[in-house]
Amino acid sequence: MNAKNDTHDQPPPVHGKAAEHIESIRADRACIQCGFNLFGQAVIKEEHYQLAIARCPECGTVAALQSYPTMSHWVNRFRALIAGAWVVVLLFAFVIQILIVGTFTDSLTRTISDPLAKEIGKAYCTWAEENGTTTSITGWATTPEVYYQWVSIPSDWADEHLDEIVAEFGGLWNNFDRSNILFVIPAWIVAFLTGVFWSIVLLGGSPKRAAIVPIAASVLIIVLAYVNFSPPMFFAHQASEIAKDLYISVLNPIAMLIQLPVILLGVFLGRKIARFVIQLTLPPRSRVPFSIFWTHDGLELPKPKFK
Amino acid sequence: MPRSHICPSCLTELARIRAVPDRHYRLPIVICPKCKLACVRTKHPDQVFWREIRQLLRSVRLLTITILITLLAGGTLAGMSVAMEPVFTDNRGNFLEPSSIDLDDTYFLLAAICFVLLGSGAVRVAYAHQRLWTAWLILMIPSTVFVSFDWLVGWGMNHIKKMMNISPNLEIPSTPEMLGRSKMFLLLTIVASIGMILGVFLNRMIQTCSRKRVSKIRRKIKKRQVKQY
Repeated sequence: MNAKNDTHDQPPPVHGKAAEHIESIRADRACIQCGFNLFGQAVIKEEHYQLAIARCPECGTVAALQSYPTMSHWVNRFRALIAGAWVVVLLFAFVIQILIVGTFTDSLTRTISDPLAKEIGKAYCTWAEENGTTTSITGWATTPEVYYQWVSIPSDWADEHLDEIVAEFGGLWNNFDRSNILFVIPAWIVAFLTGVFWSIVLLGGSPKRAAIVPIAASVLIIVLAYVNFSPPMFFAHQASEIAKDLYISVLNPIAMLIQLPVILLGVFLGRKIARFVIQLTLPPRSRVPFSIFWTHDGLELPKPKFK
Repeated sequence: MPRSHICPSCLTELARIRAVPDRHYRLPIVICPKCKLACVRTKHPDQVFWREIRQLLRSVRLLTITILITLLAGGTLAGMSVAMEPVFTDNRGNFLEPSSIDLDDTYFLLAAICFVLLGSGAVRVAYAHQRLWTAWLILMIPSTVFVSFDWLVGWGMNHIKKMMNISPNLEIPSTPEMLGRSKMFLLLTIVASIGMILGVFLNRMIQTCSRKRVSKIRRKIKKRQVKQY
């Protein structure tokens, strides 16, 4: 029954015998047109079909009382709000993933470039001592070798001497500490968990589609690293920053390429892991709300095993 | 206030009358007090949506609690083995003679046993739907992971210490210490197994109480049905 048409085209007569009924709505029922609560409105039987109806005193719309009582407009608003909040959460998770994976890649590059940074810092300190210039670490009580990477180096000095220092160091790739590659292990664990997370939260799509998001994040991390790695050196930079900029253009894509297969593995195994955990942890009755993990992949919800 | 429910025959408001599952079809039926017409109380799809959300939240809560209990019990088992290692083993990682253990430390042992029994019992109750063997395995996996993590952290700290030259006074557990911890872990595993068996009895007690409560509710519903018909 189209209540709106009834209101505007053929308003049902509510007078005569029908108007004699004295029943009224004694509970909540919102008007389908304006949401006004019809509590206390008279209930009548319209004369064409003998249907129970009530009229909204605000907009005059007829409410068919045999249908579901419409809830307020806030239900739809809440639905939109929940959907919007979910999208915001996903975007936030996307940013967090970029930050976590990006930080891992950055720290890996930093630790690998540390020996060269120390070499640059040491060279500058020696040069400064010979020329009577103060450095940022001369004020410190002690100047052990480990702090050389934190020394601030003027950009013009770096432009002049950097190639020479790298050549003295034996090139970029000959002297870096290979034991730092072990940092890849925690990076893999984080990458795998990231993949599992996206596989679970992006249930609407297949694992192949869900994989697009972490791949996009990885590409974005590489792009951001390229944008960030060579800022214009106007005044001074720490030796560690200068050394990192030399390595990052090569190490960042390599680190991402190492992590990407593990992320994809997480994406493809994520739902299987979720199903296993749910089946293991929850009793059969409580598994029902999570049935989407099975039904979405065309599987049947596991039947309870009787002991 | 309840949502409106009008009798289609006499237009009486039925919202305040309780819907009782009928004895034949289990449908929520309301008998109109005026015309005696039986009306089924249907739920609005929006209400069903919220009910599903509530069920989902309940399941998520149960899942979180179960995982937390597992991790806590596993952590207790691994943590107690680490804490008890210097008290009950010597420098080589061997168990001390009972006579050489300080009497005050026996209280510590009792407390540790109580914690482990409590943790493993809680795991058995949380995994009541699983077999005893599976529940035991579920407890053992996180605790073994924690003990292995202890090794990994030790190794990682050692590596970082060497590389960054920080915290030179940082104490890293030696191999005999790790061996002692592993021995204590094995000893506490036996205690955890006893806790699991105690958990079975606890589970039966909970089930009996639950059955009593369910039968009480059933009796109440039957009484209402008798009143209505």
